[in-house]
Amino acid sequence: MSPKLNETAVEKSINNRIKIVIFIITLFFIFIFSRLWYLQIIKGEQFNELSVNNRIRITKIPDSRGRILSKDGEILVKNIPSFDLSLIPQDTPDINKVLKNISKLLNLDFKNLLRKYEKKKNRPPFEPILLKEELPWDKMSLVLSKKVDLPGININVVPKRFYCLGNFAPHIFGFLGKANYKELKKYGSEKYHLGDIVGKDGLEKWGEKYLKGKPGGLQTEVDAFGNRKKILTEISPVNGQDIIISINPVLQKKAEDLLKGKAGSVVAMNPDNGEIIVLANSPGFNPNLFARGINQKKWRSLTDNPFHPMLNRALQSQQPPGSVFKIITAIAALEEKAVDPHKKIFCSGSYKLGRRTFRCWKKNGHGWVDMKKAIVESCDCYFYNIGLSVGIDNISKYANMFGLGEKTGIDYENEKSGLVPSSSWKNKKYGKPWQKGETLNTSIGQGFLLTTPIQIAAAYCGIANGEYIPRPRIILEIKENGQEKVFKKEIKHKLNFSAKNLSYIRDALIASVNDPEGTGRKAIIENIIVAGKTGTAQVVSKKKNVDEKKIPYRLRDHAWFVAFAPAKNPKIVVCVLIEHGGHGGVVAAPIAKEIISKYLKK
Amino acid sequence: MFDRRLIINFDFFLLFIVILISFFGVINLKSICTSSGGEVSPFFYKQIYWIIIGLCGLFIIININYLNIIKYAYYFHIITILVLLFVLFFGKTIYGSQRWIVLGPISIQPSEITKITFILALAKFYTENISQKSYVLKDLFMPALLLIATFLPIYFQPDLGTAGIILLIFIFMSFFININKKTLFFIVSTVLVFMPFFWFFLKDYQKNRVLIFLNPERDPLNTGYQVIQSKIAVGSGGLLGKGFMLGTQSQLRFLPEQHTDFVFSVWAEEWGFVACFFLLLLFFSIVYRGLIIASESSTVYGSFLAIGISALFFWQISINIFMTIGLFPVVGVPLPFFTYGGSSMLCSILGIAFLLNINMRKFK
Repeated sequence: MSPKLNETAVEKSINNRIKIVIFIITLFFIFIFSRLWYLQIIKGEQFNELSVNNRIRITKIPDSRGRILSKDGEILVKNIPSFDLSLIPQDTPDINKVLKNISKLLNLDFKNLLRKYEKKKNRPPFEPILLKEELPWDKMSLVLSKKVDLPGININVVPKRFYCLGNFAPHIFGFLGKANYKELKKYGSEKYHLGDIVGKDGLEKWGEKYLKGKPGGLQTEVDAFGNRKKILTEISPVNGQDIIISINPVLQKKAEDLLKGKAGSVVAMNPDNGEIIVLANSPGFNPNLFARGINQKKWRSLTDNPFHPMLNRALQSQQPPGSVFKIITAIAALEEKAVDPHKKIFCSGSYKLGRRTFRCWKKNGHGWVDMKKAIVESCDCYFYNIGLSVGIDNISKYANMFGLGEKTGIDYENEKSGLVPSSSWKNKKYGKPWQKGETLNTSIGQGFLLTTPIQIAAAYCGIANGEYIPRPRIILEIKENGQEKVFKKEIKHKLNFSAKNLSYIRDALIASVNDPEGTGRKAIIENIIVAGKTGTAQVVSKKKNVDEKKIPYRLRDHAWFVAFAPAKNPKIVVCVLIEHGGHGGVVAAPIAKEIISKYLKK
Repeated sequence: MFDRRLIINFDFFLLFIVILISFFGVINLKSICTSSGGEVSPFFYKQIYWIIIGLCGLFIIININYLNIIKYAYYFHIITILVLLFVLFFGKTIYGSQRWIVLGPISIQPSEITKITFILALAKFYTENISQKSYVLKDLFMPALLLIATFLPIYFQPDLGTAGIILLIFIFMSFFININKKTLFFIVSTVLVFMPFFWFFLKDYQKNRVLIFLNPERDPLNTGYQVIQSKIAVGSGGLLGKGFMLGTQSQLRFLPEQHTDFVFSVWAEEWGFVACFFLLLLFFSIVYRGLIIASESSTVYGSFLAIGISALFFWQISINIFMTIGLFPVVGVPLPFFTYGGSSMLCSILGIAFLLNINMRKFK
């Protein structure tokens, strides 16, 4: 081998090829340079952003919604910590394994967990995926102790609404739910985000702007395994404001217990300042069910219930007031001097107007009755007479003075206004003239007339204090960043009735409860003088007196009773409505009695 | 005895470049090895020892004429192949590959030294068969056998990266012999036809890496994660970098395999485009100097040896960097003088020692 002659030729050929190779290699390096230029200079900002996103996590620090407290400082609605289990995919190298560990540790269905993960798989990998809400305390500590085997698993402490009274007073507090687009628009997108919880009803809704705080945020630097390295910035959350309400929780519970098994409501008010002491409705529901979002089935069972447990009956149930209204007819007649109260009128059990016969509730009649006796025994014929004398437009004028036919202005949005008919109203609505027979019906609280329990309670506050109709109110104070916003008494209507007429009516109301012939005898309380009026409102007009129990539920009469006590210096007004309950004196009066005696004998 | 020409022809520039790159490598490793608490992991000190040991070895090697070494090239290579086979059956498994033999406190990766002995053996063969006008198929039997005998034991470890480097060095060096045109055509067309079948010989994780290289978003949390994080690290470095020990991608460990496969990403993140440009210029200088030494060599042995070593550096540098910027699938190829590891560092310095050795003896 190695013929020396060839060597230079070989070297020449090698050297030529080296030149080619150097050229190619230079191209390679130029290519790498340009690629680095592209990544670091042209796309540098973009990659920098990605590296920032990698390491910086922004976590929301939830704010605490304002509490609701009673006047005496008892906490009625508060927030309790709830432990949620979530997974951050970016921090979890082996998702299957971690989910398997979790399912073993907490006895959860692995497939279910996997489904929850798969559903949100395409979201940014640093966003936590909720696996399980409301872990019990022991399970939560179990997870924390095994955290090493569960990379990417986090426990978030989320405040959860808790209604301390449970099943009680749901209509006062209302409930929470996830905000819909309409609500987001209403409250503004700065404070609210999709998925935020807002008040859907009751005080939660009314007080949303006070109760809602402002969530804080935590900006932290994390490493590739999701471990927090340092806190970069922290903005503390601003908690919501507390609301102090006038409800007496003991009495509220008592009232709801008394209503159990019935459909109806109890409203108790302070006649001087309009503070609501009791606002009870039956049936009700447990607002705690809504605290973290209610499921479809439970929601259905509430909305499909024929007794409408979600309805705030005291504000929304519009019913004819029946005999409870007679007091307003009487005041109208007295103030307009249309009748002399001492003048007796004969009741034969029915009243003939043209060819029509209007019955008194007492088939055989009350005989000769003056106004007092007519109120005590709730004689219909007497009021047919005086109703005709005073006329429909006077009756409706006085009814309006008492605040009927309009919203009382209580701190809720969904209050109903009821209806007070007048001749011009009928003309406008039906294009027909007012009929005298309709005056008769209105005089005894039937016909077109519709009222809510809160309206009746507020109206009787006027009779109790003799001067004004107060605005019923529940919210007394809002604690605003250390300051207090106090809600004062408001007068809706001033009443300028003669003292003589008022005391006449009050005497009649006392007798109505305390006289042997009175319809409200079931409300008698030892040592306390109660003044009150029963009402039995017909749902349909009945030709003859029939056994109540044989009538279908929907057609049975509504039982009313409204009272104030002590009669000389009233501290409380109670209005009870039992829908389709029968006679007011029998069904409603005993409930009012219990509430009044509990309140005054405390 | 002592020839003054040896000193005159000593390539101080090349040695300087190597020491400079190693210095940068050590600085880079310092950033990687320092924990947030300030402790420095032993990797950093070990790397410095390896550089010192390597440089001592270098001064021994350059005193032995490379022609005396290349004489025994086949024996060296046969021994390393035997060691490779030994490793294959008895080696220590790290990251799922049988790559290591453990000798007391140190672990040796024999596939690294194989690269050098393979170059020596192939250089010897090509030099001694250079007189042939052109190689036909049967003349290529021996080089092919040499390739396969080296390639397969490494491939089955499995160490796809090193096996690939062996193949690429072979192709690079074979460019400098005359292959019959028809034979070349035959070989290229056969390889192209059988290429798809090669796919079935890949292990699942290797297939996966290739697929993920083609589309890293395929699995952004597992294997594709490495490539994505590396690109983020390189790109976020910008023009001047985030600063020494301030690279968030590396310090917060978003970047995987920082001290081995992805050392360059750390450099790019912390020092930026300017430093990358400078480092690449230094790397280019090594390859360029290697090829110049090859062309200036007084013997064909020296030319082929220098070509092989240049090829070794060129392929390792470009594949490693391609890997970190998402242009090549993730295979375990070290970046010379940068990647942590004694075997890799010693072999790179050994390669430089041969280049210096050849250059010192270029006088005729």
